[in-house]
Amino acid sequence: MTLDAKNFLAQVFDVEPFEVPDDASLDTYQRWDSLGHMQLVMLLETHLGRPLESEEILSIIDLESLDQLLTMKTGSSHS
Amino acid sequence: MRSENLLLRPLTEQDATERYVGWLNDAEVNRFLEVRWHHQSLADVRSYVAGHDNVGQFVFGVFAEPDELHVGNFSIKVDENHRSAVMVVMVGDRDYWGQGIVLEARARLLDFIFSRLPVDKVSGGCYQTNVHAIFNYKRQGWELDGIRRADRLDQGRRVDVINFAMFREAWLDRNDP
Repeated sequence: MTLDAKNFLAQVFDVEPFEVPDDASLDTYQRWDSLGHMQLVMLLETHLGRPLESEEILSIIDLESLDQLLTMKTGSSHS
Repeated sequence: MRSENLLLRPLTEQDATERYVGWLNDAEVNRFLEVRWHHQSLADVRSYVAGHDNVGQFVFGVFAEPDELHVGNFSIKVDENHRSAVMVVMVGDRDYWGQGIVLEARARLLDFIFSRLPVDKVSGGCYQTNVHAIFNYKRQGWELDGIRRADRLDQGRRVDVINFAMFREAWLDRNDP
């Protein structure tokens, strides 16, 4: 997992990246509420420069899934 | 019915207030509701409430404690033939957005549906741009039940409708691990 995913969550939830637990998920991380989820999606759309597809929005459930979306952006920039 | 912070009861004509009408005509509240296409009146709301028999079609008001302030509604339409139901939610009072009342109220209503009604599957759905709703469905353990591509218009953009489902066994297993 890249640090980007933690940085993203930290930015949304207004905490330091080290405060985001490795297993942070929509089900378990107390700070991860619907408002935070909305902010997260908006931040991702800004980062990716396009609206997220339904499947992408549905896929965001934890740090790993967030990391995959961010990696996709990185990967596409090198292709 | 009560949950920790809410009273849930069928709406009556007395609940059709200007405050309620105001929600339906509020562009932020009605962004994902079909009522947004027509200006709503007190008569429209009275007619809507009266159209629910509370046998096969319910409209439950969500009232927040301690003052039992009306903050939103859930409608439930039951299809007995197919033992299914469709549930729709609106939180009209924006002060209660992001407060978790959808999750709390819907959990109580799912308990009611699966214990009292001839229903094995409850369906719900939302626009792909309604991220709050998507979050709530996922947080509550609803499963993806299909995506209708570019099915609706939201602020001039064609968007998908994402359908979710909760099955009786899944809900009961969740409550009784």
